[in-house]
Amino acid sequence: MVTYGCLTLLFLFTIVKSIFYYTRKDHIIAPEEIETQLLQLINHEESVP
Amino acid sequence: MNKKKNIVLRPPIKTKYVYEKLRCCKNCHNYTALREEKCTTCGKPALTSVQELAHKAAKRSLSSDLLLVLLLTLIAVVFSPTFQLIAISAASGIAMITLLLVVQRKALASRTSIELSKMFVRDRERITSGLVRNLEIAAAQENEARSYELMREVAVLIRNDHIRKVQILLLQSLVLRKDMDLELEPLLLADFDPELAAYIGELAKIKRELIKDRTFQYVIKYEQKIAAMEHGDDILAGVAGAAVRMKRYVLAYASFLARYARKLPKDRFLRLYRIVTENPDLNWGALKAEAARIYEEKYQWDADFQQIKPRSDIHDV
Repeated sequence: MVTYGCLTLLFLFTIVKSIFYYTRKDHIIAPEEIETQLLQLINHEESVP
Repeated sequence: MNKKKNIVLRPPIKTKYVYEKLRCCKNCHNYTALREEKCTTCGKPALTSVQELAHKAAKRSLSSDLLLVLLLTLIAVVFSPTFQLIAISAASGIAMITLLLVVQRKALASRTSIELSKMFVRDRERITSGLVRNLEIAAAQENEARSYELMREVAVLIRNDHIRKVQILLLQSLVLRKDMDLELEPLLLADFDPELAAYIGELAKIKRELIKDRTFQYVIKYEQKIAAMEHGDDILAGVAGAAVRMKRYVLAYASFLARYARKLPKDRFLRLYRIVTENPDLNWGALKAEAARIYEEKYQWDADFQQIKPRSDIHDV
């Protein structure tokens, strides 16, 4: 029983994760967007002496 | 009277994206934008680029899925009552791990960018305090050039007028030369600053190609205040001379040029006169009449001015 349960979980988990990764593989945050985000984060609450 | 120091300014370390300047200490998790070899907080040589850290974090998050698949496979194998089921469990596990590896490899770039973005949000305060520490290190330097160089690295990330003013003051304490890697537009302030005006005046002499639209707009905005400065007229004439580099600038700032055309040196006026003369159909406003007047008064018999003929291709000089 344990084996069947594990194998079911194994298949389900792998398929769900594979679909998740496959559909999101092109969702790359552009470096320009990351740069803008960082500059906004730093310059929003900077505390320069 | 302050004496300017003749110190060589090293070129900045250029990166494609500003966040590539950031490094994080793997030991104490403090950030820095300077190029030190050891962490200034814990003293250990454990500084790593943020891209590398994000890449490792992405790999770690992906490998946890693989571990779970491996664990399920092992449990299935261990609890299999027959040899046939052991073989099926093992084969299934290998197939699922292979599938997951292939898909994860394709998703690694996406995961890395997400991890990098998450890292910046999570570590915002650490990054800010690291940069403030960098500024303190820069300010503590005895050598003005080194201080400016360090401050320039941090100013790419922290952008405010306070740092710009300090940078301008440091630059004004040095003898500026044409071969130095200088900058102007990143140093422009929101308000009038005589040191900045003086710096613009110096650049107008040694590196006029750095004077672009934003600088012209700044100078025109604070023209009266600059004119009231000692040698203010020289600064304004220098900026007017820089505007003569391109026909576009001459056209855009024609009225400003009309006010300072008389103070231009001969080579700059020759170029201005050529641009205006060779493009009679453009709307030069008062500049056209002023250029003609100066020509009549000062250069009518000058041989260089006799060669001007209508032409359309005026290049940057």
